[in-house]
Amino acid sequence: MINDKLKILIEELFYALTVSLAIFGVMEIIRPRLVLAYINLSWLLLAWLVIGVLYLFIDKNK
Amino acid sequence: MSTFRIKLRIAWITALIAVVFWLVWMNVVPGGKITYSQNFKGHNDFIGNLTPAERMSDNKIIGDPVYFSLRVPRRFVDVKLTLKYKIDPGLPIIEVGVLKDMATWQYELKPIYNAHLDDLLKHWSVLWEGDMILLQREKKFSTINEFLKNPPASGKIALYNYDLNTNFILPDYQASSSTITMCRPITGTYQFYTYIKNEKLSYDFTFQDLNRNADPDPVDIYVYYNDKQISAEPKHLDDDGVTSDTGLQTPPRHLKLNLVNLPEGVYKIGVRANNDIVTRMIVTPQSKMAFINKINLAAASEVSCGRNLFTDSRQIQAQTVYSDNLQTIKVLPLTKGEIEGVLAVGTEPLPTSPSQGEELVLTEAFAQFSTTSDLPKMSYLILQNDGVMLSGDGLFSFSQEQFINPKIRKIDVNFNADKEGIDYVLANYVPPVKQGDWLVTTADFDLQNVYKKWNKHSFLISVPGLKTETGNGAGVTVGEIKVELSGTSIWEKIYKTINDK
Repeated sequence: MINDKLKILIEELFYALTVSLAIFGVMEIIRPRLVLAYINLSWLLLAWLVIGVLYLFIDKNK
Repeated sequence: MSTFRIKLRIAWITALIAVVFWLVWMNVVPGGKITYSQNFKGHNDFIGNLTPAERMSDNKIIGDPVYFSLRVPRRFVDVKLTLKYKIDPGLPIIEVGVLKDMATWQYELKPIYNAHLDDLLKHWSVLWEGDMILLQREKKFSTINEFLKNPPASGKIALYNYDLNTNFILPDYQASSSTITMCRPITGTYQFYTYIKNEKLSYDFTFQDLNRNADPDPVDIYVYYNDKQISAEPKHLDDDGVTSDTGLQTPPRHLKLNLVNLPEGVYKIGVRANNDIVTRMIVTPQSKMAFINKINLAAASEVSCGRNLFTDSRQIQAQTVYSDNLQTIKVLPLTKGEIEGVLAVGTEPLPTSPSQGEELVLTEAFAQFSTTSDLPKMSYLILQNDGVMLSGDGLFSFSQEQFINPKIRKIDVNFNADKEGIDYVLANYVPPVKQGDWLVTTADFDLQNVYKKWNKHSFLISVPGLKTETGNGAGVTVGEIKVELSGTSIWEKIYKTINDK
């Protein structure tokens, strides 16, 4: 049960980070420094990468 | 889809919308007011670092001046800049400025700290009217208005951050019947004072475009009377048509200034051009021509016109960008007798002994060299070579006869009220507030007509007299720079748009 919830959590976190990065990227293209002035996208990208690896790992063990 | 997943999805989508909304809000600034601060403990995307790095030691300014940028997310009308700082002894002045004009490198300066004024505030009679201060050695005036209506002799007054428009008149001046030719080439931008009485203001400038940089090189000439521009449009000379950096020199071109029916008095003429433009010659019937604060002598060894200068600067800086033009500039003090002698005979003064005066030795290109002692009221500069930029807190002229200084003494780093016989000081100044070990001062700037590129304004912090080269560690430690921006709110904008329709 906990395992299922963890899987869902990682999955949703991965989607959330993917969508966030995409939206922030588009916002930066439209208006430079709009996002980067407040959010360090490098950390977000790193978090996305880690969650992405975890997601792949979970997906493989389904 | 499980309930847990639905809940999670709603949560992150809501959070993302909130973040996006917040980012847009911070960028649009709907209320028209926003504050940024830089305390030098972390990165601030809006207030840039203090540069150049070699004039900084952590957050301590050790060389003058230093610059920082202010990135604005949208257009603002004004900015309130608050500086929190500590100052080491021996540094009398701190000023902050915003870049108004890129071509002339003109900053609008506002006072932050002035030890001369702070000292006089303790010992002289003080009259306050808002931010205006009138300091009197001995109390004679009971209001600032009374002082302005009936000001004492200009030699007894010093000003700070205030322009006192006194009608400067030369009692013995007579219009010249002949013309003067200034044939020493000058690079780039400069400003000078001239004087007219019952004559037309007439100048014939000869400009040459060196085309060393890949940009257009227009020339604009502005004329000011009592610090107000005479005509709305400047005299303009377009680029010569060569906007590349080929170094192709097109034939010299003329720009003539002819203004009639002007009242007697001092006029300021400003030539605005970049360093590709060389003023080859100025022909004028006006006998007075004194360059304000700086003169950049072009490297033109083929020109034989005199390059020696007179100045009333108390301190002179010299710099060359040409390694071939390194030289020793002799700075000779002119006594009252010598000045009168020069006026009578019209010859150049010569040093009576080798030890007389000071030598300004330029040993390195691109480095700025400065006189070390407080110079007398008038000095004569003997230059070995051209291609040098001279600057100072006074005026420069090529002959004693051309010299004119209509300006009332301004309080600067070398100010000494007792030595200079100053009895009155009129200033627009608010002394700093003490906050523990720190001093805090605020300066307001209008952002509407200042230079902005890529949404960035350029600011400067000036600590006159502070030199990195002296290396004694003295300086100004900056604790915090806070900017409070204000402009039109989005509601005001909407209201205005509806009303305009």
